[in-house]
Amino acid sequence: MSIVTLQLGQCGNQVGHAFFSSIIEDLASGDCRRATSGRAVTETDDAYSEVSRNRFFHCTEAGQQQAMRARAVLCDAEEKVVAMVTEDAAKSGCWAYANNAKVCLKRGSGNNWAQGYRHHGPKCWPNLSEIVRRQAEASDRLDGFLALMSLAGGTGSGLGTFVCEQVRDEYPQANLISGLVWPHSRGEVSVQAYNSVLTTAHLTAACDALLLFENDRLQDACERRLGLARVDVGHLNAMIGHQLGAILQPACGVQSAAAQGPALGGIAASLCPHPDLRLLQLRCLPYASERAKEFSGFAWPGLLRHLRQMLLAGAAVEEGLDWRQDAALTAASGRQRCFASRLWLRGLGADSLCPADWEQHLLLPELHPAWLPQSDRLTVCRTGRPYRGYERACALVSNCATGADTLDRSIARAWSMFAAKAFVHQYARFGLEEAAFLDCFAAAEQTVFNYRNL
Amino acid sequence: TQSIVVQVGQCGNQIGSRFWDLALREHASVSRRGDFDDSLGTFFRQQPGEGQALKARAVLVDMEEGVVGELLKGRLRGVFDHSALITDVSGSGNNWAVGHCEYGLRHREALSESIRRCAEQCDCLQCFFLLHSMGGGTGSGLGTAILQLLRDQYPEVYRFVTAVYPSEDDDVITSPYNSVLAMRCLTDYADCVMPIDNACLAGIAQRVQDSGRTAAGSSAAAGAAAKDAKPFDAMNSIVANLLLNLTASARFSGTLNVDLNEISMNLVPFPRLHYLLAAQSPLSPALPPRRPDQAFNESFGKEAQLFSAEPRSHLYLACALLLRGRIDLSDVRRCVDRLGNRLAFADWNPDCWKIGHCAVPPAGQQFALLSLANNTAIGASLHLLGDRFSRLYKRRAHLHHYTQVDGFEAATFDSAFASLNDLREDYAALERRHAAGASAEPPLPRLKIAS
Repeated sequence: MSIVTLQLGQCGNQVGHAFFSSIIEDLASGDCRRATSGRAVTETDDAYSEVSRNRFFHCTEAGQQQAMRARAVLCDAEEKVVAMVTEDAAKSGCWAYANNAKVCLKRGSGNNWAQGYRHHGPKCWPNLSEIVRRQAEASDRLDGFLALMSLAGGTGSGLGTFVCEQVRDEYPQANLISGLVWPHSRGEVSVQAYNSVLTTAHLTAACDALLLFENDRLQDACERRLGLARVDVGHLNAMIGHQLGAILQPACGVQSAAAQGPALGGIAASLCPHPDLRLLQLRCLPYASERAKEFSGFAWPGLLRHLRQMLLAGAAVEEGLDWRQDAALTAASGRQRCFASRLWLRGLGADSLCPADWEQHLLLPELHPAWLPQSDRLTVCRTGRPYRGYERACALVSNCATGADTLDRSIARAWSMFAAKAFVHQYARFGLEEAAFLDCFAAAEQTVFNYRNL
Repeated sequence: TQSIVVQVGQCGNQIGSRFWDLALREHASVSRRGDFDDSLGTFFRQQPGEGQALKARAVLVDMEEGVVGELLKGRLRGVFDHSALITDVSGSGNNWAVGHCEYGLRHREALSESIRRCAEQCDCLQCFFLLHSMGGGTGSGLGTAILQLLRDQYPEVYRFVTAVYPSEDDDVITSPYNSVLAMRCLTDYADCVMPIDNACLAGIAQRVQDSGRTAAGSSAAAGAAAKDAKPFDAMNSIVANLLLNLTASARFSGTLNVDLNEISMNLVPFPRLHYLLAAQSPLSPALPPRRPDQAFNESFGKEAQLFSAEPRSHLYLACALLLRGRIDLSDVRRCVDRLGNRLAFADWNPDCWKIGHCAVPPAGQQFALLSLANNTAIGASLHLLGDRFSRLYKRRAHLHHYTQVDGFEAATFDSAFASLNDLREDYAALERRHAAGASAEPPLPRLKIAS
């Protein structure tokens, strides 16, 4: 079942490129492994590779070479970034973006959500919908769409929102999950709070699930895990790409390709069955620089314990965790209420773990609402095939209140600007009046309220 | 996207000539082969036909022949289109009314034609840059008439004005009149204004020259320019560099591109308060490079400001940091955090920053920083300007020069002065509100969800 990636805006395109690079690296690491392993491993790996390739790439035979074209649609309001990303992909030699998969306008969105939503969106959409249709039809079975965008700017957030709403209308059966990159809380863009609130308010209605990537937390994680004093945008994007790969690569053990369920559908169904609760947090272990990777041999109990503590403390990294924070304390403070979680286990011995092994760590009755049946609180996917050369790796996606905290902060900032009428005329210039603002504020407050009262 | 530069009057054309010179040098140093690409296309176009000469997207306007004439005899003569020159002979006599009403009417058709021709040669016109002084007659009067024309005929295209204000000791007696009359047009018709002060430019130029003598060497660009430098070249180059730094991200690529429409969006919270205080570090490309921390400190200090204002002791409404060259995101974060703690921002957005990064540094430098601040410090300068205006107006001095011009009404003085006062009051109100802080009226409570 294939996933079509929609890369929207500057950040969306850069992150999308990092995501496909992660997949390619993962496939390459599998090739290395196969060279040195026995037959049983080879079969699993072959199945994995085949599923993964078909999920994300359109593979054609072009002469001697097998050409892999990413199932992606690239859209931006100006041409520079899309051109750069396409060129980088082609340079890699083994994959590239499809030739006619991009739509660019001439003029940027000026960090203006209204310009992206009301002006650029409708302008791009006729061309874009054709390209999306072509990508959707190129797959045997469509799992759904992964939309990648940032919330700070105007194109990703405004045009991105418009595109998601249109895609939802045209493909009501397909799953639609968006990966949203939240800007640093200390300003990248003056009006980022407005853009964040407007987008989230619309997308909680249009998408099945929203995966939140916060620049602050990513930066912290990169600094600690990679040991870098200087982290740049490339590192942040690489981390997002890695995390997305960890949850979207196949993970059903030795089952045949046909039996692999939909990745996006699985996430949406298990984590977001309730329309009011759609904000997802992603935590992934381990993550290290290339040189340190060989030495990151963790055992499952250790990894799972860290994941649990990260969930309880609401943290992004496994270092500097507050280990005093236990389940009872967390539940009492009401801060980390968790609706449901989904766990991926990738690596040696994952297949031989038994449910008790992970349930003791991650099934925390104090955190979940009482009315949710036990079996729905935690779902697990696993495969013995390691991910990107990490001997053992795991990822946890939780529908929990941490996302609501981030949204809450943005609403607070946006509201104080709105009360002072700051920047409102810039949005009115493109037709977004105060009433529309108020509607979005109401929707966003509703989302926060839902999580606070889990 | 493309931009068109409209340079009006003596000052505007002098700055303009430095700008085109430095722009060509910058593009030459970036692309050795000299291929015509999109980045060059922002300000230049290729003349179809033999040689494919580069032509500037410029309109040159002056009501006396001196400066434009010299430009056309100098090195840059091949860069300008002859249809893009609007000149007259007798000058404006430092009279805003003559520039705005008399010449504005007389040359309106020609101006409109010239601009239209330039605009048609653009694929996607994004912005007009207007260069002029405020104290004289042509730049100030005709310049603002052109601004109004641009607003009427091209409402979607952004209008950035670089306006040179007269200093306290300006030798033109009527400069306060001209400035206040022009100011009203800037408030009403421009999208963003970057006010510049001659006194500040002179100070910076002096500092650059002093440190240039003590420094070991200077870059090739500075050396070449020094050979046939004219007086005021150093000062005008500072403003030219400002424009280059402002548009760098729109021209070249980088990880955090900042387009010109983003400048307006992020820095202008209220429509009339669109005056941006600019500061650069290093002060000139001829100076030795700075470390990032030094550069940030310098550009927020008093000495790097291009306008007589002290932003640090007033309230920031928004601030943009446009970085060029090699710098790490972490360094930027760190400096922004540090600065954010020391500067006063409006309470409705304490983190009102816009950060942009362009990979290509200025010629001869590794790294440069341009800060544009929307800050209430300008209110103090407006106050001084208003005072100088009042001193003249109370005595009705020199008014007859203006009122005898056809099309100029005496009431224009009053409405312009009122506009200036309204603007001062807007800035002062924001400062008062900030000073009152928590004891002021409580903020609007957030929406509550009924459970």
